Amino acid sequence: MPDHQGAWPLALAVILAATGYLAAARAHRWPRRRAVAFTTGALVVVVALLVPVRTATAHMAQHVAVGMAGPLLLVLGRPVTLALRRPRGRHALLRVLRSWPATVLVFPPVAALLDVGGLWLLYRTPLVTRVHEPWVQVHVLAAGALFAAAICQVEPVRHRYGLALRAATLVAAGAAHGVLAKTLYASDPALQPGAVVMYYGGDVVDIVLAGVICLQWYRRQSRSRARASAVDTPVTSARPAPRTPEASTVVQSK
Amino acid sequence: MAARGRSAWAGAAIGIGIAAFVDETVFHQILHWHHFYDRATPAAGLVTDGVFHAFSWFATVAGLVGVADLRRRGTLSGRALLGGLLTAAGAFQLYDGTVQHKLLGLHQIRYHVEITPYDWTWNVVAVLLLGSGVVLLARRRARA
Repeated sequence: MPDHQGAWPLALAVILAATGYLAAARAHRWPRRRAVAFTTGALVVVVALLVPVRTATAHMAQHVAVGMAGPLLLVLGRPVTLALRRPRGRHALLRVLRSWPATVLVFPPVAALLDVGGLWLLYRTPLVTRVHEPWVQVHVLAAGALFAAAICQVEPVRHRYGLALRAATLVAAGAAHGVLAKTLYASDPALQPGAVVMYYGGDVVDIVLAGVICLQWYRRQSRSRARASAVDTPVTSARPAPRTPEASTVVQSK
Repeated sequence: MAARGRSAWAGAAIGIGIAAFVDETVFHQILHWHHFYDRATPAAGLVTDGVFHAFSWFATVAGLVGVADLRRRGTLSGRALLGGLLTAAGAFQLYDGTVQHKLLGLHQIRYHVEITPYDWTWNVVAVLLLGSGVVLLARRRARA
């Protein structure tokens, strides 16, 4: 396993980002749970980058922290939405968000391919010995954040992709990650404990991502029901059979 | 009927999750009978197992949130939920015991023992779960 010296510029960048985030959150009445998510994510990434990595198992724990758990927490803090509240740079940021490369990158299968595909290249080809380690960490963090952003879709991008596509992508990416962990397990006995950490660590992050998607569905259900009962429009197929006159007056009086 | 069908589907999603969870905790982690990966598994077995593993976690979360939604509407049918749960758990275990373990040659139930009684027990339990689930669902339908 490569030595991970030289990760401090990335750690410093994450610390600066968290400082900027907290300053903006203070200025803009920002929900506390988002600030907690972002700060925790930044802490997870910084600690994982700076703690010395001596074994393959520690390397895999670092991979789960920098590439999966940390980015997910950062994304749940909705830093882009917060940045858009500030007038400075708002215009340029919006232009980036609405650009076609951004739209393609947050297409869930593309984000998943960049994230898990990158890992396959990294671990199953000789690439890992050739790339300078700090750049590997930058890629792992950026691709992890892109994947979490594409699956959660909580930031204002031009096109939002549907729940079914995001759920299917999550399952496919989770499967690819698990299979990669098992092939690593098979490739070298020294990697076995690390591969198990990678496998179950990936599971935990996948469960949280599944929770995010399913709770979005849950909220959408209650919103659409509220809309259906607020407006006395033709009944959709999901609703019960024709209402009695009494029932519809009750609904109208609400 | 629609609500009952939705209860059954939510139960099915949770049932797959429970079957996969029991497999993972009891046989992999506690008993250490199953191997994490016995290094003799062909690629097709690894991939289908990976997909099922990832899907089972998603199904668990989706099924639980589905139950929350049905409760909120007041249309949760406990019997349909249980029927769906048992049917799916049995079906999943039967699939695991026949296709995954035997046909695709994924890890076996236990190693260094005569495997036949283990396979039979595994699959008979699966059929019993599946059967009781189907009976529950069918009775429900007959009464409706």
